Amino acid sequence: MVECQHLTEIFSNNSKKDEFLTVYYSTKSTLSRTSVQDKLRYTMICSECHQLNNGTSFLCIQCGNCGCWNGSHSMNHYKSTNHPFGVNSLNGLLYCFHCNDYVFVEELLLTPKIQKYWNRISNETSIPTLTQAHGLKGLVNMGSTCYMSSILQCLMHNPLFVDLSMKGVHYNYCKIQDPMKCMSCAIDNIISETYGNKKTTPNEGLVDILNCSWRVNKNLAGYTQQDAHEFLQFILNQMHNDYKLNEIHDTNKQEMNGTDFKTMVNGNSSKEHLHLCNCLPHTIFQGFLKSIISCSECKAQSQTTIDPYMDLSLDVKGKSTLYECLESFHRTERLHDFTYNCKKCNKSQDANRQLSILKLAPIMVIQLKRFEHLITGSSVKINDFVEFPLHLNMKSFCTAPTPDTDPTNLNEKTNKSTPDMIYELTGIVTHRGTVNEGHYITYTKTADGVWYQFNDSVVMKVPLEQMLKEQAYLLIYTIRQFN
Amino acid sequence: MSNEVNIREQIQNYLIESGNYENISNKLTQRLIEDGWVDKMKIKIKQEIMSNKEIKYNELLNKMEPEGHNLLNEQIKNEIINEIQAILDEIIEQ
Repeated sequence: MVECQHLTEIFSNNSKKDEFLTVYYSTKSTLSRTSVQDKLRYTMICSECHQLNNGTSFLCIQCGNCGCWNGSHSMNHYKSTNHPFGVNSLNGLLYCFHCNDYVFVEELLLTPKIQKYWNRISNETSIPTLTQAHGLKGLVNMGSTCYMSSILQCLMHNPLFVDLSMKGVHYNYCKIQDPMKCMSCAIDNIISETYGNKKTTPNEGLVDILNCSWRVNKNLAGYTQQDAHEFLQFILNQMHNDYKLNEIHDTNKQEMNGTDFKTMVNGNSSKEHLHLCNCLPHTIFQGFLKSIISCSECKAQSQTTIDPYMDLSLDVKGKSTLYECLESFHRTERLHDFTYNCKKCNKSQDANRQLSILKLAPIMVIQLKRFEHLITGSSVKINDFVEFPLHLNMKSFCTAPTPDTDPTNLNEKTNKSTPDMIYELTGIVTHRGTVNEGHYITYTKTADGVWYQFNDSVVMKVPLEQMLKEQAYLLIYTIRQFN
Repeated sequence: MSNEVNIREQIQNYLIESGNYENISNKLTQRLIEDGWVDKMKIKIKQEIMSNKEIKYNELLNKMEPEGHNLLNEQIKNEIINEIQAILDEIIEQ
């Protein structure tokens, strides 16, 4: 993107600038509210050659003409009318056909509402540095707090999480407004400390979180090492409680968000109304698992239970890839110590059980069970390397919500009706060491696709290949595409 | 000549209204993501910009478009072309 003289010229005149911005903002806002279907019908068809999506389509700011790139009609429009500015009808970016490049001034990022306050905004805020924009700030180890900092870095580099925090989803409703007492406030604080200009005492963010943790659970004061996965569950639980505390305004929303799932219970269909909580942790991380128990002989299904989950814990023993772990999790297993009376067979049989995913969350956290608790009472760590993919299609581990009548055809039918769900790896937490003495390190990806290692206070760029060789303990996958 | 254009417009409209255009477009995007093509292209483009910071968009596009075609997995291309073919076969009389 470059600075465009033509744009600068227009912006030097206040009324021209306002006129220009009004058209630009309304174009962008209309585009963002247009359905894909309507975009195909109207904003991606060239006014000249009538072809659909013939390369990028540009909408002329001055006359609304739609020109295609591949047929050069957008360029020809500029040449014949001298209208240099086109808006990319897919992403709303501004292109100048004279400069032959996308162009930018700060005002283009605004909306009319913000434009009103532009003077104040330009005085009191500043464009972040690159390190700030990507949140590349380490967290000092205050004893044995690497289990905390590794999880915090994961959360702070989760775009959904950060977005909701910056939108003030908690801040707007919190009655306590004190990062030393309210965990969600502390999280908001550490995010603004990492990404912004906020002047704080050194490590204020982490100290506040330590404070809030210690108040609830004395073990989390930072003196002893704890399990990172448990800490993640702890934080999300606290944030859920904070939401419930401030929740009164949202009771209407909650009712509307309950979802109906038909469940087969003892052969009878019954509707189970599953309330989906609107709190930040649940909307981002919560999914639902379906457990189907069936007769190993006649395959008749009897017990189906639906349980919510915030992360998936997978066995790693003897597995070398993540897909193998997931397959093992999803595989129908024969239960031997479970007395099951099959009504169809009319006698006691062995039961089969299958776990599958009924509902996926936008962010999926997978824990590889590396800490094995032996009968002797001691624990060992499983250090086997498990290969994990950059893109994960969850389709084959899911089931459609309403199972069809014939249980033997379940897998076949569901593969046809379940859509592809592609997840992208956005972070991992590794554990080095033994059960009792170890160190957690986080690797996450920034918005521009670069991987960084967060090792307490040290932040380092790492090549992709290096990250892929690490022994992962927690894997964070973000939804990328679903059809 | 104008008959050809007319038919193409009809086909285009059909693909849009039936939802097929969107479906195939999504499928293509998904395959390209899964294959790693999108990530590879991003890296290439970034490298190009890093080595030539003054480069303009249209120059960049002209340079990178052929690379994109080269990196494309033949299998994906054939799969999508076959899908389009199947849909067209249904609606066009030979």
